[in-house]
Amino acid sequence: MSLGGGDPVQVRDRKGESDKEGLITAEPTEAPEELDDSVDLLFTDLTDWSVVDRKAQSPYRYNEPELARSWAENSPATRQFLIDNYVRFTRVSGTHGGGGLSRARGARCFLMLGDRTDIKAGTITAEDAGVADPERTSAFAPQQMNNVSRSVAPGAVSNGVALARPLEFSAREKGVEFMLHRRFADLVREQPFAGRVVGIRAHYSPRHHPETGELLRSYWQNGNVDERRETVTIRARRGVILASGGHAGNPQVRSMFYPAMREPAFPTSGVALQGPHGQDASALVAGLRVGANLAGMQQNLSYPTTFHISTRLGTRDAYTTMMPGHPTFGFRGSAGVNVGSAGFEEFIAVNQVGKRFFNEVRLPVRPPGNRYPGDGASPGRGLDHKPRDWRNCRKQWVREMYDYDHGLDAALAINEGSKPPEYYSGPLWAIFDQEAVERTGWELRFPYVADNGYFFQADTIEELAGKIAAGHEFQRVPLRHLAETVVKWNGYVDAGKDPDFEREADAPLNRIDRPPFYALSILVVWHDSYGGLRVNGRQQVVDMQGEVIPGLYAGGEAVGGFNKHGLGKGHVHGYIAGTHAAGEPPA
Amino acid sequence: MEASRTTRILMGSSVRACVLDVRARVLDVRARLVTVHARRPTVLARSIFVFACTLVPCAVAAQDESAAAPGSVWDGVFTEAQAARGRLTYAGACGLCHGRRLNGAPDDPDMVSTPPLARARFLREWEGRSLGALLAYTRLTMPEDNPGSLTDAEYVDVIAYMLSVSRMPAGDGELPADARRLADIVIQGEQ
Ligand SMILES: Cc1cc2nc3c(=O)[nH]c(=O)nc-3n(C[C@H](O)[C@H](O)[C@H](O)COP(=O)(O)OP(=O)(O)OC[C@H]3O[C@@H](n4cnc5c(N)ncnc54)[C@H](O)[C@@H]3O)c2cc1C
Repeated sequence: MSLGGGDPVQVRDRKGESDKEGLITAEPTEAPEELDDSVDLLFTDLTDWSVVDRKAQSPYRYNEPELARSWAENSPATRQFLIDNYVRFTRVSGTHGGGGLSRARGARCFLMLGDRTDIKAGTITAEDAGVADPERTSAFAPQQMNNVSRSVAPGAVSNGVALARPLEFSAREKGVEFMLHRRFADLVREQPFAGRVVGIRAHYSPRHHPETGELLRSYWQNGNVDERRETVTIRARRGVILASGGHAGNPQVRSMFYPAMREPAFPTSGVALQGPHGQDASALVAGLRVGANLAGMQQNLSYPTTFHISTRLGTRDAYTTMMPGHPTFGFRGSAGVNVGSAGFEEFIAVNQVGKRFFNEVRLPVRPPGNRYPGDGASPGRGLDHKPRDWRNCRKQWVREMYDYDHGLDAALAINEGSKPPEYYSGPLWAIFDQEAVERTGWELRFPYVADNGYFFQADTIEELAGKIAAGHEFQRVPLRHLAETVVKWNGYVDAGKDPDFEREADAPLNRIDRPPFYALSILVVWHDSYGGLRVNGRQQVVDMQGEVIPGLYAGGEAVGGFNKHGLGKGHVHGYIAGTHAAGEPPA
Repeated sequence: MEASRTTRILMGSSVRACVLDVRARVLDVRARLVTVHARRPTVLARSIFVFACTLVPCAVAAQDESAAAPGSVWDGVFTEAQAARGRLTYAGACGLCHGRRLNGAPDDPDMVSTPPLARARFLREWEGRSLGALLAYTRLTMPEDNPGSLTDAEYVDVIAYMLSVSRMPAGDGELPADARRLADIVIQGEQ
């Protein structure tokens, strides 16, 4: 999570100190001057019109200055708030995307492996962390945690679990109540487009275990409110804070930004965990209904992970690493095979009619991040960065550093199988043979693949095409060109030349001729959202006339106008919104 | 003094190609420090980089002609115990970015792919170069956020682990943490 502005973790590392509990024994990763940050410098970075990424998009240019200022001012206090609520941070290392180029501002959250899981002591068992068995995930941690010994001490593990569980633990300890299995649909405003927002309406929407049918429950239960009425209306005495995430899982809303992303075959990240309504633009839709304005709607286009081709194949949940053991694993059925970018040279990728559409090797390459002249990479070596300098985006520099392959766009393009009115581009398939399996060591067995419509195997290519057409939920047309594509490909291999996509320049070409033949799904993933409700510096939602909607706050991926990735954005927004909402006079 | 030490580190069948290649790879790696979890090379890394670039001409000029006949990574050049140690070091220092399968698929999905460190693609990219060159390159550039932060013994253990994952046979002797001796061992994709 990247914050900054001279936050307590930057200060700690700058002084070369350990954390208060003395868990960190590793030396600081960053040089002290890279940690010499201030609110003003952070604000300057977040409003830097001049920086461009390697796709020649500008990430900070369209940020709302008021939002950026408020975020910068509240970042140090938010870091302290998190530390005070059992969140432990590793050494600072680099900066998370959208956090500015001038200083190091990112630190991971960690827990220490131990004999018991104890949030107060900062320990977690290997089983709960998901590191005891590479093929099991726990109910405690939906993703297996990562080893971050080097930036803490031996035995340190990290991922969002070390952030979310401590905060949940602390909230439950303080008496916060949770009403789960409930989906908010509408805001209640005094008049349709005027007056205060005084509450929300929410529907009962339980999730059940896909195999046992059991009601899914939260890991901890203390503080849960057992309320099963179909619809409840909840009155808000001080305010409603919308924190329901973005629109990455709502194809209709997504298509505002990129029409081809109306294709429902392509999900958002974490679909098994988040369920069918995850990232469905709830806040944006409800906000629009009471007159809210939108902001930063083009900013989805200038962040490298917004949409990309995942290197995890053979599962619908192609972004995450969940294994059996977590109660929502059944919703995905398979963990998927993460082949990395390098794995894309082992197969041909075909579209819904079985035709190749791009150089496979370049397909998964994500548009790289922000760069500035003289910089080998970004964010990097921030001390040399000169913010708001016209040279950062002069065309000679852009020509020099531009590095985007447009493979994703080829994957989303209409093709022979696209039918009006939607012209869906359809699913994508990695096609390979037994020889490739032996070359790579890919494990085509459960839990990596399963009979869930995202992996197929057959003795002939024709049979493989038939199985895909019959077995995949979004395969709307037959892969009628697949057999001829493979024949053509084998001819290219024999000739050592791929006249269609010039792949021979990037990797060796391998024939596909030894049965059995395989197909793994390739997923375009829309990971996160950068457009949403317009808010002011207090996180109050603003309407189409530029007036605050009283009693309504929003933060995180639900809001637009602030192109900052992930957790840093939402946590500071929550801190700001909570502070101001708590100060409202009770209605 | 320092230059001739590095000369030996980098020597192999084709010293010039090797040295230039290391340099190109440093640049290449720096170009890959991208997007979400891009790392910020430290001041130390920067000075190492500058050092590496300025060193190139002397390194080429000062090559040592009396190198022993090169051996191969297939000759049982590491022990199982060393690879096991390397596995632990790898998990802490390298695994997050290069993945638990060493295939360049990071353990953290928020991170972009990295070069594989084992098997066909890795062997193809390093074919014909020496383990000495690999050690020099790794020390100069890795871990990306703090290059040079492991001991030589740890780097070499990780290399032993990489070879074991690439199905090279273990032997009776450990890979030495000595770049000069590693320069005599050539990486070959096939036995
Ligand atoms: C696998 C993965 C790895 C990531 N790694 C990182 C990382 O390393 N660093 C980083 O900074 N970011 C990371 N991110 C991104 C980061 O997690 C998100 O950007 C961030 O969580 C968004 O926060 P939010 O509060 O806006 O929304 P969310 O975290 O999405 O929370 C929204 C909540 O609202 C609930 N909800 C939604 N709709 C409704 C409704 N109608 N009624 C009731 N409840 C509803 C959802 O169930 C959810 O609990 C990662 C994301 C994923 C999926």
